[in-house]
Amino acid sequence: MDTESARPEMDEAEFLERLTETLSDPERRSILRVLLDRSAARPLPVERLATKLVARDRDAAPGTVTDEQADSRRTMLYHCHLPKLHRAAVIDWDRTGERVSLADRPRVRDALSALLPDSESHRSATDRKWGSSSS
Amino acid sequence: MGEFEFVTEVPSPDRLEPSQAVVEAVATAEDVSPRELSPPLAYVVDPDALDSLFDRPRTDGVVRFRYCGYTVSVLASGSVDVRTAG
Repeated sequence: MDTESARPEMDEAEFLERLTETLSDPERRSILRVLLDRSAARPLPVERLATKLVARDRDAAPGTVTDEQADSRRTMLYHCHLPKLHRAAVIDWDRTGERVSLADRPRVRDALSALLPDSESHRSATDRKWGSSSS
Repeated sequence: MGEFEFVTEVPSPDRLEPSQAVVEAVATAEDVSPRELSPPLAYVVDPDALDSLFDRPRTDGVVRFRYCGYTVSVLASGSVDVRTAG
């Protein structure tokens, strides 16, 4: 299991390098936006995160997302995006308990609030141009 | 023995990125679900880097690495083959 203590301390430069690398990916930006927008302090089950991500892509309610759709999304959360976000020290990830939360450090929340767009979807600029509304 | 035993090959159609094809193929070889593989792929190879190597058609080259006890090869076609030491 990944724990806070297993992660070496980073200096400011390294933190910024890893943060920008991790923010270069739209899926990871979406994950961080979901976590940043939560008011609840308790960690979010990865299954719920996957459902929210699928719903975000479609501007749909989470209730309309099927288990199968969320499940395929979870695979690359586990294999790619959550390990990268964890290594960048922006999330806490309980790998065995399958829960995630924003890292509890003031500079993480501040940096993300400054850098992340308020809303963003995976749809291309062309899709947006053709009038799908974005909440 | 130095020989590799062929285990499985997953063709990578357009919908699957190479990194996804790798975890599917190794999971198939192990007969588990992709999320039961440990460690996550990102601890062994950078999935973004792997996918970007193959994000345009390639005619040559192969990326090979060890993962979960298998030798995994991502071929120029985007197909993945998984072999274990025989």
